[in-house]
Amino acid sequence: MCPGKSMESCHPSSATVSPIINPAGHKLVALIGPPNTGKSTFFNRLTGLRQKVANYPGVTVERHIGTARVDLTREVTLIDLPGVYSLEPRSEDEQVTHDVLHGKMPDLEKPDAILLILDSTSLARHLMLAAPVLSLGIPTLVILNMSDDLERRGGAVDAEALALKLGAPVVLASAVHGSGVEAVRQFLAKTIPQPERIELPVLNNMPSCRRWSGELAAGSGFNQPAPPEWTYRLDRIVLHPVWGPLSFLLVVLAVFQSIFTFAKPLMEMVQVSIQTSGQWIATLMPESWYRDLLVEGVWGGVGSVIVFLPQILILFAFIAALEDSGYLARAAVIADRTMAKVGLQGKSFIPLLSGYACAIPAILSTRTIENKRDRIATILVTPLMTCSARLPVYTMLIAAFIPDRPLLGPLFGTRAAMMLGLYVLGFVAAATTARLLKSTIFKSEKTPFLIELPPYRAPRLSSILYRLLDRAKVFLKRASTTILFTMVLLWTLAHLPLQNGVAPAMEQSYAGQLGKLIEPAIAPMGFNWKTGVGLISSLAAREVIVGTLGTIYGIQGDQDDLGLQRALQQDLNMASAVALLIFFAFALQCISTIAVVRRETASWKWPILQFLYMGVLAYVCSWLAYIALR
Amino acid sequence: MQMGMIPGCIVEAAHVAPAGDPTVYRVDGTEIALRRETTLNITVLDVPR
Ligand SMILES: Nc1nc2c(ncn2[C@@H]2O[C@H](COP(=O)(O)OP(=O)(O)O)[C@@H](O)[C@H]2O)c(=O)[nH]1
Repeated sequence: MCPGKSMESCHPSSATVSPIINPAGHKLVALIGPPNTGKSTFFNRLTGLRQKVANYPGVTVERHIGTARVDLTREVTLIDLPGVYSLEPRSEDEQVTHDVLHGKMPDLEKPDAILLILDSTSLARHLMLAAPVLSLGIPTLVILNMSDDLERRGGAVDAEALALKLGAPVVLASAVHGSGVEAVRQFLAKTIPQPERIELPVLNNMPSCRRWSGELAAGSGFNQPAPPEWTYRLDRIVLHPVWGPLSFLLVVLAVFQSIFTFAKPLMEMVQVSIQTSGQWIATLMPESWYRDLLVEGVWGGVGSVIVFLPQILILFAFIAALEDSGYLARAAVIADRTMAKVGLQGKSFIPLLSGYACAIPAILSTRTIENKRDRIATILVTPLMTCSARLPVYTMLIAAFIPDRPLLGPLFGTRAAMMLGLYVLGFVAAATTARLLKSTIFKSEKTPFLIELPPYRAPRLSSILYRLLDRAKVFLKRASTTILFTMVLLWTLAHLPLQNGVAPAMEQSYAGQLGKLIEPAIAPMGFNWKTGVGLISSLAAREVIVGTLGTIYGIQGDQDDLGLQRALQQDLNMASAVALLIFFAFALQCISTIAVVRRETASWKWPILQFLYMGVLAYVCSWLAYIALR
Repeated sequence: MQMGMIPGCIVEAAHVAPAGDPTVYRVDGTEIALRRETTLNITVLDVPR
């Protein structure tokens, strides 16, 4: 879809045709093809930044829609369908593709034209998709992409001969170099030569379909390119019994290092700029409740979540580069055995690893898992991994309650051990939960595990940037809606009811009363109402508790941390502090995660189940820890 | 099946993952990794190169 305003202004009258998806009433063109053939690259080439991602209604499949210019006066709406090998609706991806192409998608009309993208280096196999697509009777352009690769590896194909045999125009293209894009425009402008339509055979079993496409390719001068020698050679190292795991470890370390070390200065920069701009806004306005709401509630609140944006983007840049280069599939092969032991699979590894930074990108990166059960299982356990929002809370509590004594040499002391212990705890909980899921809810499921290993390719900066932009949009949208709402609500609760026209002390505020209300429930863990308020506020985002406790104990943000630590020591003891740490390790206190899980699983069932499960786990374990240590 | 593993096709084992499973097979011009539990359902005959 076109980015709102600019389009509405040029097509004001047609805005009512199909309000949600195709506001300008443009012709609809669908991009379809097997996975990894260059659909997104083509889509980005044609639409540029005029694109939008959303989910198809009711399913977890992503819908990319954009606007592409055909010529000086005309535009079309382009829709990028999920990668499929056939049109038979077996998986969710195939169902979506099938529904869109048959015009059965509720808010989307049947496409007016199709761009069928095939990998020219695997033509003999990919042509299998041509028969069912062409027999839909929709004008179709067959794009044989990766022609640069085909040439380099000494392959060839006669596009014109193939066009005659298929009864549809065929062009050779290379999406990364931009060749073929002009032909697509010509096709859309209907100025491309159209061969006479012919009936294609209806083949409903796989072997005969494969035979047909093989013969078709051979009859069109298709010359199988030499195998990708470089890929074979690299794989001998990457999947080597010794070098394989070693390079795997190096990659993992590099990812870790950058999301923690390199992201840090960026995150601090964001934080400082949010603070300074907040203070600056404060100077512009008279002292009033709405100034406080704006600066503390809105600016500070949303800011505390946006701080994670640099880390999330760095993580995504890594994932995108790993995916585009082809290494991600190898990493999945290497990790599969270990992941299978806890009931997950190789492709769950990267999302779980990403969970150490933030559950949101981690959950979004489960997209690479085709198997729906495995994907949901991964989504359900990911928030148990120790994300960086827990770090400020861990740091604060550990510094206040765990005495610093050397354990293994001067560098590894009790505090480091506690921190490590919490990381291990999160991982163990995730692994145990995954096993539990596999032996309960997902028990009956036995779909074969399969990973296709694409040839290695140099990752393209532009493709990575497009994806980063995508993710940044999703994240900022969350921050500006759900999180904003929660923050304002919390702020209001903490500042009402007014007493003599001013905000009450925390104890008398609605938030304080709520804290008192839940005090009996959290007393078994040694928490009082102040901790209760902190817990309630941390439902928005875990690290918010640090700020809330600061407010409750009347400590200004710019004062040193020691003040808060001393105040905390009066209300909590070592046992209840450990209980609180464990509570934070397990509980799902993150509105954004809940919202993303809801979006990705297309139902409320999973986020609610997850929230309850993690809440009960947190409560019980924290209580047990308190009893044991008291 | 859709990826080329169809009855009568020629399969070549290319790599074994460092942990011993899964194995990467070359089929019909692509490489596919399959777990042992999956390949147990596939019958293979030895063919000379
Ligand atoms: N050599 C070459 N690589 C390409 C071409 N088109 C796309 N790629 C690369 O192929 C990979 C998969 O492309 P993508 O657009 O993500 O495929 P999709 O899964 O079909 O959307 C990416 O690494 C692209 O950079 C091409 O014409 N030639």
